[in-house]
Amino acid sequence: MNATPTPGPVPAGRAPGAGAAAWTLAGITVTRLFRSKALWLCVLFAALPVGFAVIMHALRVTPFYNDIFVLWRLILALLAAMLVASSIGEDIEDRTGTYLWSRPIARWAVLAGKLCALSPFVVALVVASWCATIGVWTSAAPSAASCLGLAAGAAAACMVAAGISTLVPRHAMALTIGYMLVDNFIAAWPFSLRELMIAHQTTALAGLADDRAIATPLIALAAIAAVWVAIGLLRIRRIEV
Amino acid sequence: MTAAAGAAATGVVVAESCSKWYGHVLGVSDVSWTFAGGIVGLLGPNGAGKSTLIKLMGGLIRPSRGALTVYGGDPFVDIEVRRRIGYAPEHEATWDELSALELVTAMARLSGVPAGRADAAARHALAEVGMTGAMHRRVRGFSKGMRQRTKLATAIVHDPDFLLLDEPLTGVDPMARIDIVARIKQLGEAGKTVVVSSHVLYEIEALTSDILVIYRGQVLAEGNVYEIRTLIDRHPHRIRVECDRPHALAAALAGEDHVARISFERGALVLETRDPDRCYDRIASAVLDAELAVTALSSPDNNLGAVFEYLTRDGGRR
Amino acid sequence: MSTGQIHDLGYKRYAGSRRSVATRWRVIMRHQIAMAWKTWWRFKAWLILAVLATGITIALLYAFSTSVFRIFAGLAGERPQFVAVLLPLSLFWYCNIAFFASLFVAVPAVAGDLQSGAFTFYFARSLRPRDYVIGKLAGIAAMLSLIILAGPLALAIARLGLSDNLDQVIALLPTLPRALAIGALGTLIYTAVPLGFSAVVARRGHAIALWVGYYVVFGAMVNALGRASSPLVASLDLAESLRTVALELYDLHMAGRRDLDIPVSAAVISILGQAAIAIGLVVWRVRRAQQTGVGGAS
Repeated sequence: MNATPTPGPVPAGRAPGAGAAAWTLAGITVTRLFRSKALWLCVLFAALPVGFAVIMHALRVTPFYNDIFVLWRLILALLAAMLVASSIGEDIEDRTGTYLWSRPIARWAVLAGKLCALSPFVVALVVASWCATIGVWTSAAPSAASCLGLAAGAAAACMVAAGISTLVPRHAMALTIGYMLVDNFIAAWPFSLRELMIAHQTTALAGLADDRAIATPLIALAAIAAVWVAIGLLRIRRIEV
Repeated sequence: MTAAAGAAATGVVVAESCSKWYGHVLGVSDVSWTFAGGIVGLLGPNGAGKSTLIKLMGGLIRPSRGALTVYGGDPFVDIEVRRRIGYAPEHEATWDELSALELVTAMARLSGVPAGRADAAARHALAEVGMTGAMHRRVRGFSKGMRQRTKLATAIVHDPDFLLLDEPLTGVDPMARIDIVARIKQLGEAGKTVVVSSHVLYEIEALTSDILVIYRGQVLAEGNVYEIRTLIDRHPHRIRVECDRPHALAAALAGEDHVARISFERGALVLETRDPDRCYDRIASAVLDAELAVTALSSPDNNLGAVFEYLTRDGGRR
Repeated sequence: MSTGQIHDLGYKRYAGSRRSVATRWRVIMRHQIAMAWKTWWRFKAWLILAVLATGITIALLYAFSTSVFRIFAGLAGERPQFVAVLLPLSLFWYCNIAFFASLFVAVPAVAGDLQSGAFTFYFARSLRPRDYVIGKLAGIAAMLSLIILAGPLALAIARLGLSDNLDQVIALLPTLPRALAIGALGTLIYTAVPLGFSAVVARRGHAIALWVGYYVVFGAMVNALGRASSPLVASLDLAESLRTVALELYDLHMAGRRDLDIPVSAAVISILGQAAIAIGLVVWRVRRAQQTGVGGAS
């Protein structure tokens, strides 16, 4: 069997630190993402509004920011579910998670690695889609606040997706989409309950809500994300594959 | 006491009244087992609980009740314990988008092999399982046998002390099977502790004579296959003698109290005895006295198949 | 080598009665329902939500119909106008619940079989592609109709039951066939279209994303385009088309929808057309899977 001369066995040293493990996992996740259809589907969804903008520009329709911003709140929900929730959920459902669970790494590093790898893609796609659409439609760049709002909202949605995927791995993607749609629905209510919604805080941060402060929505988004990350970190320690 | 010292005192694996349920489905039930080291074959029919026991040892799942320790620690929570374990799952699913080299390198890094040496470790492990030629190909296009070898490479890449191989020979072609069996034996000879599961009896026989028979989630028997066979004293032991005059041999042995039954096959006599040692002595003296020409002497019961068949007959009731 | 021979190993071909080939779709249908019923998330949770929505709406109907409410509301015995609005407006909830249920029940139906290689299993037996398609459609439709057809129908019956007199009952009788028609169209939307997406890709996750992208994102875009250009474009938005049909059948014209006046015929054609295309996609995929797989259907 040893047809090709190779160096001898390389014994493992110490167990890798959580940071190193997360970094390695992030690398694997990115490599897998670039070789899967999921990324191209996400690019397709992000590009759809640009086509929409081309038609609207041709029809000489004036942008109605508040209305069309809802579209990106839906897109960020879809992309977070597609990339983050399905990535974690599929590892558990397809049992490829056995390769990770049997390794000497902290379980939370799995969640951290996936989030570090995938969240930037979600944020970048959502913001790029928004900028391209507004650019095509109005021949001008969107406001920095709207980009910041979408970026923060997309990051928070990724955390929610990660948390849900550890709670219900088998249906993580569908449930994340469900959660985010309900979130969007409640965000439209004129009640204080909407303060707990990512969609409302994203809109507020983008400067499209009544409250134009930046700090409050940022803190609210961070708090929502923190709650879901905490759920994910607590839950992943108990998951069996 | 350190984990290693604890392990030396108690065994590599210590299971104490260990049970695992998946909802209402029983995985393993009240398993108490101490494994000191070497190579052991985990034997049982499909659904017996072999994979559950291996997953418990690998730290992938936790016992619902009781305890299971590996090297004195809980493999589910103790990272240092998992560092010494190499696990090859029974399922085929891997990260198919990666090449074999990328997959095994990633596993090496996640197992603590320094980043600068992970590639060399992966190449070595893949060479060990005969995958050098295909290591740059993506796993997606691999046959079942190639997947098995790649899984084995992920298990051995960090040179672990304790290998858990869940049905490693399933789907492997005969030539590769010989190679993999030889490799596992080498690992055992090199001082590694290996647990190999299979429901194919001759696969285990080719690897080891130490077995743990699991049936319906419980340990049905453990130890050396021959020792287990002698423990089954209620079940007569068969001896087959091929000779020129089987009837003459039968006449010489017919009066012996330990001979339970005599039957004839073409050119052979089959004895069933409750005392194999005495029976072998009597056969030898009868052959000499009657000047018989013996061409073959065998015991159909001294193989794993017979032991397994007997142990699991009637739902494991003995 | 000896000449070939077949050894009798004790296997006996099943000689009992066999189900008629024409009814084998029922096996697929029952299996589809049984699998969905197995866990809470797949169907039970959404069914419970639909029952809750029905219960709450009936409670509201009852409360608004009582004389005490009318007196307190200063309506002097008149039934408040929004009782008539409750039925069409409740469709919003049923649509959303049916959409969520379709994510768990309809979308994974074909994609899951493609992903797990179950087509080999299906077509190694004497099962025809049409049995598979009809079985899947019937199974999913049976479940989703419990949400989007049975719910509005129960409300319509409750509305009849809460009538003040027989004349009112007779006047409201057409509500029943209207509720049935809306429910049937809704069932078609949430059964056929996600099943079509399920047949397009061989991964459940991708199929879910496509269906959500189409229903939610694409739907919102064509809706906006419809407002800016022609209402016919907006008829591609499945939810909006169903709402249009419902409002027309209940003879309700809402002020906020003046800018999107989709013709009812266009809405119906759009729904039927999209469902037909989706079913066509499923048939194409299943035939292709049968031809490239093990085949053997008879």
